[in-house]
Amino acid sequence: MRDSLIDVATGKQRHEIQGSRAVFEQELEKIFGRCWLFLTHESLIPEYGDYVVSRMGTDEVIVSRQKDGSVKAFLNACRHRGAQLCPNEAGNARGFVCAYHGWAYGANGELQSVPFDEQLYEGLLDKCKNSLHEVAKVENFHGFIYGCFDQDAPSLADYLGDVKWYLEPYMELSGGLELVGPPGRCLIAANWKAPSENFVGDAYHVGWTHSSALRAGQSVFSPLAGNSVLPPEGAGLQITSKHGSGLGVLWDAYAGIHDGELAQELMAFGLAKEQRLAKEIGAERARIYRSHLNGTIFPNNSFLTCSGIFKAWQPRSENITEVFSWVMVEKDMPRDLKEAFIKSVHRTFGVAGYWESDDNDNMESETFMTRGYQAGKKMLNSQMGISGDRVDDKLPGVVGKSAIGETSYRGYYRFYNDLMTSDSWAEVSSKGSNWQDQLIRAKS
Amino acid sequence: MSENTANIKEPLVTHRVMEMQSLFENPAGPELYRAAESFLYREARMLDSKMFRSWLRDLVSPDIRYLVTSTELRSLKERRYSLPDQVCLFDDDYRQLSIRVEHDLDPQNWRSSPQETYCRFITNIEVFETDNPQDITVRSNCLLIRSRRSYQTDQFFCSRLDTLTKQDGQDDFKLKSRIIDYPERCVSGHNMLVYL
Ligand code: FES
Ligand SMILES: [Fe+2]
Repeated sequence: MRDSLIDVATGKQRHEIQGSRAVFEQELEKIFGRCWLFLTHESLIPEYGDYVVSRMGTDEVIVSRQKDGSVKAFLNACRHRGAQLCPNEAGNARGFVCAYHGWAYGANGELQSVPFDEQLYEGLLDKCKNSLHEVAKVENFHGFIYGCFDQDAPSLADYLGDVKWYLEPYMELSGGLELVGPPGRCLIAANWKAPSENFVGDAYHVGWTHSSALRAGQSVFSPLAGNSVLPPEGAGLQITSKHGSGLGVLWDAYAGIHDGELAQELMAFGLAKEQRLAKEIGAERARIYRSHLNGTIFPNNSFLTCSGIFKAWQPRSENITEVFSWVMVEKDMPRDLKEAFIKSVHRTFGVAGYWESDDNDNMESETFMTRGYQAGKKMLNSQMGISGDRVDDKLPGVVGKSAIGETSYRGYYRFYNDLMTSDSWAEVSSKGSNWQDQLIRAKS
Repeated sequence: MSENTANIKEPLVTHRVMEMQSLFENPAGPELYRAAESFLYREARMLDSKMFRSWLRDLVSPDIRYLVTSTELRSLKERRYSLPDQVCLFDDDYRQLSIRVEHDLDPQNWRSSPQETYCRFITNIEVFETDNPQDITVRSNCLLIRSRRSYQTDQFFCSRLDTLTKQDGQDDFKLKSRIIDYPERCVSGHNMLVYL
């Protein structure tokens, strides 16, 4: 038997997971075939017939708003000879007609008409048996729509688990978010987990990787430039959850990576809303609303709240990832502020984002080095804060010792390991029944 | 007289602007053409040799708008879906361009060392007069090849619609606006941390 890829007890992962073809092929079945994957947001398909074409692992899916307001998703492959059904990224359509031979499907995925049906098939083609392949489950978390290929998966709410409590203040109680498209799109030469793990819990790299960005654009994070200071004790939190999703919190850092006058206007907006929210939802959660969260919804959907960045890291292969970059923004932000905010998000974390480019290099080189036969076999280290992980009576999840630590890496790969070593959701669930203990007991 | 891209009102839909025939009605004479052409070559040389600060100081107007969009792929027949189809990869003023330049030249910008190299090819130059005697419209194509570390070669290509301006008392043109609707929807070159 091959050596294990993940050592949960010591917080280590084999380097080869960031670039091995064999591992990637297993992931398509065991990770992308089972987990809840980000599809789109309600704000991008508001009306009946609105659709977007999204990715689930290496598959393309049409995500379409139904007549009754629900959302369905289908593989974007024609049932006849498998041609790509919809070449568009988004639109409004009552149906989809294949460009190859003209089979036509409704927005609900049903095969509705086939050219010369009567003459050529002589009544032998059962249209009911040739609907588009439907994604087993589609659910919604405060407007964010996810799909899952596995009928046995827990509900989206259960899957998100402990991270929900941290996300709700910004995503729901704030008055809600809209996702602004179209997304920026580019290809990076990195395994999909390299950026996913970075967003889930890497507050450590900010002061060093982003030295130049921090210095060039003056934001609330700029004092960290060049690792000249460590955020003070109590500057934030780091948490992980049963199903691998995790996040970091930096208290009160609402203006995030934005700079200049925009940062000041954002601070004023966030502060006023926090004060109002404090009366409705209590000071503690109102403070979370105005605090900066970096996180990843397992496996490949990352975000920075307040900064407004929303990402899907879509795998094309073991070492090529397509990056989709949207902006998430509070619905009730004044129009001018919103416009400036959207542009600033793309300027920093979009395809031409000067922050994003700092990260690219690390993610690509982490993947590139797996080409080394010897390097690939070695274990990587995510042990920062390892003996300080705990459960807390007030804070959901397993909580790390300080704002800068690798608790969320460990939680991410703990769950990854359960999926990769299990044959069903039932097995995954039983392996994770004592997930908190597994993390708390871990030692370097 | 021909229109001037500097006067176009928001929202500026770049793919429509790039095809506005009224911009291309008054071809400039040989003298203006040569001045525009030498501006573009000089700019390409400065950017190829990473003289970003000099580029900003000498060739870019303080009221610059530098805009690169990417347009979502939609059906030609699409009528009902009304959400915006463009995302601004760049929409920068002078201050924001300066931030990019300082980011790039910062001694702790790890990706700048060892250096990457650029080679720009500027072609299809056309020059037009506008309704403002100080401004000209210049359309050109740009192919930029970036070579990075040992194995990475990226190609960026686009059509550019520029407004060059020469204020009273100035000898040379400056770049007042640049509009690009980037043709490759999913950018294959890792990122677009280049000036097109
Ligand atoms: S492949 Fe689609 S109609 Fe034949
Ligand atoms: Fe980063």
